[in-house]
Amino acid sequence: MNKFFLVLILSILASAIYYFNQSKLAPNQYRIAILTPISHGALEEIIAGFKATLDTKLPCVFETFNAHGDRVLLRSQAEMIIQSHKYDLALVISTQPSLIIKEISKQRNSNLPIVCTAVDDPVKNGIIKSLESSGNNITTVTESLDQQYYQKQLEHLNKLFPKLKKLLLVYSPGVMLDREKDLLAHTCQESQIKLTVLPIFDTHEIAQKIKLLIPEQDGVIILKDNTVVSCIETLVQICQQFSIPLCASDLNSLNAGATCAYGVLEAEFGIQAAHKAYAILHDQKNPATVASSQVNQASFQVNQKSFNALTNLQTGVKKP
Amino acid sequence: MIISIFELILLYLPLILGAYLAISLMQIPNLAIESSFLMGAIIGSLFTNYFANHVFLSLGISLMAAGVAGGLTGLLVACLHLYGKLSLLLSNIVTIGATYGFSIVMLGGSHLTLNQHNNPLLIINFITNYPMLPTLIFITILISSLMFYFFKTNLGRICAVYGHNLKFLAAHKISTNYVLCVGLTIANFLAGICGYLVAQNNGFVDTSMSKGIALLSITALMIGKIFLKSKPIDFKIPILGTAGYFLLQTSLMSLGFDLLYFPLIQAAALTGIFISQNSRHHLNLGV
Repeated sequence: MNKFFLVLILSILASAIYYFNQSKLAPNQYRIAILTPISHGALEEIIAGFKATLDTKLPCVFETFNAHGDRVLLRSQAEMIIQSHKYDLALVISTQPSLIIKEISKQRNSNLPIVCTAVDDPVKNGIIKSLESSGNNITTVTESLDQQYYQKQLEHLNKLFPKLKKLLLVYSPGVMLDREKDLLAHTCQESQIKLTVLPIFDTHEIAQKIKLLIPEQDGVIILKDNTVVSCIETLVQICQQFSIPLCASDLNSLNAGATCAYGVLEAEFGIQAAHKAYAILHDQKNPATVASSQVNQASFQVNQKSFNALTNLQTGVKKP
Repeated sequence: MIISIFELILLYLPLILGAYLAISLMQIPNLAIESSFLMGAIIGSLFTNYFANHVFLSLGISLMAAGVAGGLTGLLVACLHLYGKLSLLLSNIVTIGATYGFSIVMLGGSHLTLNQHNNPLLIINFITNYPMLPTLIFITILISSLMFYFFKTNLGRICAVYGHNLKFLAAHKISTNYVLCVGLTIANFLAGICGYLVAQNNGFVDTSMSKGIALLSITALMIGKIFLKSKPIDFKIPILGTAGYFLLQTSLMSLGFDLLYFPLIQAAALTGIFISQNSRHHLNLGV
C-alpha cells in the first residue's frame, strides 16, 4: 500500500513536469500569468478589464493562478510563475501577492516583467523604488488617495445628506488604511463632521461592535478595505435596520446594497495594467522604465433602491 | 523548480517537526500551533527590525525570540489545561483568542512590511538565485539535530509514550504535567521559528498568515505516515510528509489543476486511505 502511494505521487509529479514542459503555444502568442490572492467581484473586474484590453492588442494566452486565500499556496504559485520560465509577463493583483512575487523574483534574479495592480503605496511597501522608475522588473498601477479625494467624497455625501454631522468609520487598521483614516479624519474635521472610528480586525467583529455605536450616528462610511468589504452585506443589513446611509469607497459595494459609493471603476486597474503590459511586450520597453501610474477618475454613484429605503428623517435625506 | 520545493520543505520542516511531536506522538490537539506560528513571525520580525544593524546578532536573537514566543504560547495552552482546569481543546481556543489580540497590539495593525535589506536569512549567501537556502539548510540541520538528540533522550521517549500509554508514566511516577508542558513548549517553539522563517521569506507579516497552518501540518503528517510503517518514533515521517505535501501541491499546480478543489479532494483521498489502512491495521496519527 505504501509503495503504491509512493509510486502514484511520483507518477503524478513526473506527468506534471512532462505536461508542463510539453505545453506549446501558437507562434507569436504571448503567455501571461495572472496571480490573484482570492476571488471577489472587484478582483474579477480587474482581471476582465486586463484581458479584454490586452486581447484586442496582442494575441495572448492567459493562465490564472488563484490562491483562494491560502498564503502557502500563494507563495507556491508565485514560485511557479517565476521558476517555470514559460511566461512572458505576470500580472499580480493586490499588495500581498505583489510583495511575495517581488521577493521571489529578487531572490531568483528573475527578469520576468511583472505588472502589479491595485497595490497600496508600492514605494512605501518596498515593491518599487519610485513611481517614475522602479529600479527592478516591476511596474505598478495604484490608486491615488489624497486629501482632495476625501474632500470630494464628503462634498458628494453632504449634497445627498445635508444634515449629516456624525459619521462612523469602520475599518481594519493597517499601515495603508491608517493613513487613509487620518486623511478622512482631517477632512471631516474641516467639514465639521464628527468622525467616530471603529477599528475591527476580523469580519466577525463587525456585527458585534457596530451595534453599540450605530444608534448615535447619522451615517456609516467605509474605506477600500478588503476585511470590511468582504462582509459588506452585514453592514448593509445593520444600516438598513437603523435607517442610516452606508457610504462605500468602492463602486462594487453598491451591488451589495450600500447607499452610495465614491470610487474608481475596478476595471480601470486592469485596463491600465494592460497598457503597461502592451508597452513591455510589444514595444519591448524595460519594466523599470515604464512609469507606475495611478487610477484617479473616481465617480459618485447612488444605489436608488437603498436610498429610497432610508426613512430616517433625521439625516435630512433629499432625493437626488 | 526542485530546488524551490526543497526550499519550501526547509521552510516548513520545523513546523511539521513540532506538529509531529505534539499531534502525532503526544496525541494532543495542538491547534494553537497556528498562534505560535503567528507569534513567532511577529516577535521574531520585530527583533530583526530592532537589531537591524547587527545582522549576525539579529539572526540568533530573532530566531530565539520567535521560538520563545511560540514556546510561551504552547506553555499557555498547557497551563490553562493543567491549572485552569480547561479541556485541551478549550485551552487551545482560549489561547488562539488571546494571542490574536496580543499579535494585533504587537503589530500595531494587521500588516507589517519587512525591510529586506536587514533580512538575516541572507547572511550566508553564496548560491545564485537561492540566497536564503544556505541559511535555511544550516537552521534546519541545527533544529533537526537537536530534535534527533531530544528524541534519543529519556524525556523525548517519554513524550512519545505520553500519547500512547499514559498509565505507564503514572505507574513509573513520572509527572505527566511536566511532560505535557515540555512537549507543548518544544512543539510550539518550533512552530514559532517556522513562522519567523516564512515571514522573512515572504517579506511581510500579517495577522492572517497562519490560517490553514494546522491543517497543513496534519496533512503533511498523514502523508508521511502513509509512506512509512508505524514505529514509536520515526524521524523520517515529518520529513517525508513535508516533502510529499509540497511535491503533490506543485505537481497539481503544474497540471493546471484548480486548487480550489484541492482541500476537498485531499480530504476525500485521505479519508479513503484511512479507511483502507484501518481495515488492515490501526493507523494511529493521534489526530
